[in-house]
Amino acid sequence: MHEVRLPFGPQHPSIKEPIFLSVDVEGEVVRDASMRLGYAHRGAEKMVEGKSIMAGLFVTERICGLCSSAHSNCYVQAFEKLLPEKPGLRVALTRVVIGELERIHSHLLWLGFLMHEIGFESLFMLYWSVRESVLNLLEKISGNRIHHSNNWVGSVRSLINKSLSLEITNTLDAIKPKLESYAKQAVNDRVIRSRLVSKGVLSEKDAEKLCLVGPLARASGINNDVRSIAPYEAYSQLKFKVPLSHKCDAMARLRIRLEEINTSISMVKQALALMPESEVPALVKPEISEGCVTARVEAPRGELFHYYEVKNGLITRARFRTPTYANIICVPQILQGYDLSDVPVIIASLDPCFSCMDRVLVVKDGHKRIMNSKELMRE
Amino acid sequence: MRLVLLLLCIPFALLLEGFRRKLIARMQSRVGPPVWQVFLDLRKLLSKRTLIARESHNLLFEFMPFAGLITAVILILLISGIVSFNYDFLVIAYLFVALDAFLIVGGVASKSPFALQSSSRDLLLMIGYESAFILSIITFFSVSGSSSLLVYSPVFLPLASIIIIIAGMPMVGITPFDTVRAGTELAGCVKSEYSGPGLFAFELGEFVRDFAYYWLVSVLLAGWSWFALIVFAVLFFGFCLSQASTPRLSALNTAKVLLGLGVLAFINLFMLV
Repeated sequence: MHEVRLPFGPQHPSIKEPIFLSVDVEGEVVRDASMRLGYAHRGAEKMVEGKSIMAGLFVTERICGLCSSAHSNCYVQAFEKLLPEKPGLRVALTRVVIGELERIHSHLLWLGFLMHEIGFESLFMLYWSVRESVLNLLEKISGNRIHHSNNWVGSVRSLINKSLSLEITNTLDAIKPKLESYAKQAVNDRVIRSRLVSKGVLSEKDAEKLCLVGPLARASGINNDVRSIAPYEAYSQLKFKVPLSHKCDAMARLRIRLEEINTSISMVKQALALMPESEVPALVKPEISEGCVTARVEAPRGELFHYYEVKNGLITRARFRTPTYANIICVPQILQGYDLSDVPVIIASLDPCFSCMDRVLVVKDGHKRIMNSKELMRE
Repeated sequence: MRLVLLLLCIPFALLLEGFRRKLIARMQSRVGPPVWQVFLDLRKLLSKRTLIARESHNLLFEFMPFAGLITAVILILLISGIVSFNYDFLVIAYLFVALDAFLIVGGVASKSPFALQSSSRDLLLMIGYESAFILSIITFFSVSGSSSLLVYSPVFLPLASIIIIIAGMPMVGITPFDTVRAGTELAGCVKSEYSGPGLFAFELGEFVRDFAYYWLVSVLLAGWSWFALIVFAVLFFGFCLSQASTPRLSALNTAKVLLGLGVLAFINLFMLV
């Protein structure tokens, strides 16, 4: 049969961020796929270098709109390792509340996006209307809907008082039945099942070999949730179960994210119940002159890793490994053998975020250089 | 009088599309665009410069949308009864197929990979839904014994009615059978390379065709009576509800359902006639 090469991107309705995916189809079956990245490269690592520790924070929290709090949390955690005192329980719990609300809104955005990919516009709108309530809560806590800018090295900018805590609990209680009803429809609808079950299968062995992270790995039976295996902030004080599945397909990824929303709602409630009324450290410039630190947190899409080197109070080297950077490697493999109709669904099931992932392009003196791995590591 | 009716049909077809968008928006708790937005969109398309890629520059590509629009207008002429003759229902059925075929040829002539893929998908599905559509029309007329749409007397055929309604869903682009218009898979589908007046003719042809479909099915189910208006409204509302409440089937599953529908229409015709 005649083979057609379809260019998915850099601009395509099914991909909301720029990536070039070349898909070779024979009839309706995908025979091969390859991708080219780098369209959204902004040089975030380079931007942070040479900045003071507080100036770097403003850059890192703008790496991604959906993981803004996760990035800034990872940043402050890294530098708090060099501080003599820990910020305290109230700060840790506030960060947990914002981080989990961010996870809920990110997953709701993804759910809507997945429904849009399979042409179910109504459920897409309903999920996004619930997301609005969560964004309103984030705005009430921090003053911002997307870039919350609440983290500070050693403290937080905004606190959650009793009345706000009650409002958050009430809102979460109000959205939970809605989410359960939508989830029931998403999981049980025959057409949705036909579009997701046994699509984009990644076995546990493959997921382990490719070092996948986040809900993608958990849908393949690998528990690498940083909140559980290496608790940070106040996660060690919260009771939660990491959702796992061994089905390994797109439906398993949907179920995992639906369960994670419920887990996050429970975590927010627990964190609010534990929230003390104590004072938090003042917003002062951190006294850090030298050091080499790393930190990792569980962003909505999986493990987020930051590495920093500081000299004379300035950041000399920064390195971010975002979850999509770890997960994107599976794309060509995961598409082969499936139908063309499955391509947008399978890509969406990975929940990719390209703007915070694009890396590696090294330009010096206006000339592009190709480097081997040793040179790249040295750079 | 008949000419006035014909001239009113085109704005009414556009208003119907406007109502469709508004109704679906309300079903999704959205405000939606104003009903006359379709007129504004089309006026804007007319004022746009036509940009054609070097590979797409050929007569077929440029002419096919206008051929489709002319076919749609002829369809309205026939369905409204302005032009009527013996066995005109067969011409109506063939014109529906011809309109789809013109749009597919336009897509193939554009040489865009998305349009090519969409055209080949539509060609496969057409075997199912267009044959089911034609066979159902023949079933209605054979059972009623009418020779023309203008003198058609309605008959109650539940299975043929269901078949003609389902066969219309991929034609009008209603989920779960709107695979040929799956923008998230095939971008602009057969329209990928069209712009300006070409896209205007393409879109207008589709809106008029959709209106012609609703009109034809209403007449087939209820005859030339006021009851046909109720059937028209119920059918339109049902399609909007289906669009708002169901996801899209994959291409493979759509093909299975529609090819099965074609076979069912054939068996139904064989049993009844």
